[in-house]
Amino acid sequence: MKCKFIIYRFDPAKDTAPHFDEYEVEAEPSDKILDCLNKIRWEHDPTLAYRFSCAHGICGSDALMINGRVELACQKLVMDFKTANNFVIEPLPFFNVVKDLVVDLKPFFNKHRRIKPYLINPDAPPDKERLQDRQIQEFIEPALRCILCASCTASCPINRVNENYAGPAALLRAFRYVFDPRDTATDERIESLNSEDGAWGCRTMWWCTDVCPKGIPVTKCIGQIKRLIKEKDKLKNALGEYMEDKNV
Amino acid sequence: MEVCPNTRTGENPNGILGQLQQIMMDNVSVFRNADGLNNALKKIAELKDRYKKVKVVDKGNCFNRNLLDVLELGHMLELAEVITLGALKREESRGAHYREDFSKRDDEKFLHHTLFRCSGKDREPEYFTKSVSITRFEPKERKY
Ligand code: SF4
Repeated sequence: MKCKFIIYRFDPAKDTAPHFDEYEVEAEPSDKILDCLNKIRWEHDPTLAYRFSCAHGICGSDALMINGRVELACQKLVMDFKTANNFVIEPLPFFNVVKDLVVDLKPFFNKHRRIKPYLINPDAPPDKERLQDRQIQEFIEPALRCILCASCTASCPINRVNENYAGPAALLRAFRYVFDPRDTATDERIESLNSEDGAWGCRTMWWCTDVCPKGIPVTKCIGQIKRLIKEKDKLKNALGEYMEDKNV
Repeated sequence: MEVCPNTRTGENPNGILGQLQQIMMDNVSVFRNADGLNNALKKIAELKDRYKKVKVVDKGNCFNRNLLDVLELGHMLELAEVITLGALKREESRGAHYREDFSKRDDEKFLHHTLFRCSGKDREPEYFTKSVSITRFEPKERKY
């Protein structure tokens, strides 16, 4: 059947402003949106630029705005949309466009790096492995499913008003390390998350959870960080009062 | 852009890509035999010839998907060729490599790695082997 694709185009070498191009594609209802983009590239316009790699929702490189919603082009099928086979494809919002559907993700990965997305533990590694408690594994498991596709951060309204805000994806990764007992930097991590650029930037708007193509409860995980910060604060305050009492 | 000079006025890469997929699917898939493999080699050589004139439409130097497609296709053609050559050399069946015309494993002749090197000026693949160091798992006959 015939599908109409209206695609955002911008080539910095030629264009002063972006425009939309229209393409007609023969597609099956079960074809992925990515298949259609490939068809357009092969049959109509080989200059159409977009990112993709695995085509199976693992690499996280083809997050795009499809009919006004952020989706992975490889996870959505033609029949998933009730738009009479019309599709509007735009790049991820918020980020700067490099060319056509390709955006500059450097700010996204910088934020990710900022939360130190690796295990911090100065102890020498044991012979075999650092064992993890099963329940804790289950608790942080959702965060492990993140494929860093940037859908959440691109959709987050706070991210647009405060450019220093870590954003949902980075906070989700922070959640994973803060609650992992094998990591010994918990206090420093909590300290750096305790600000408007960290966990408190989140106003619980649920947009990240709504768009996440891996179904991760991002907002809830950020909520867990907030809870932990408050608990530690309480503990600190209680300890302070106790010390004061003793001195008096 | 240097790898793809303007003088190339042939076809787009996607036609060759599609045909390469079909050839490999038909001949170098799960069940292989000498006829099919030789047939594939002949067709891959034709595609390699066509590839020499393949066209790059996008001359830009910013996220040039078209150029990427052309470069990838070149590598795919070389890989398809050595995969087929290797399958042809290995006149036995082992693991995922199944030859209809040689259904038994032959340790006498083939207990080694099959390798190719494309170092010459014409990049013709040159066949060589390397011995296998067997550690924890002894090679065994496949009985399922
Ligand atoms: S949390 Fe979900 S939407 Fe955000 S980067 Fe990870 S996979 Fe993508």
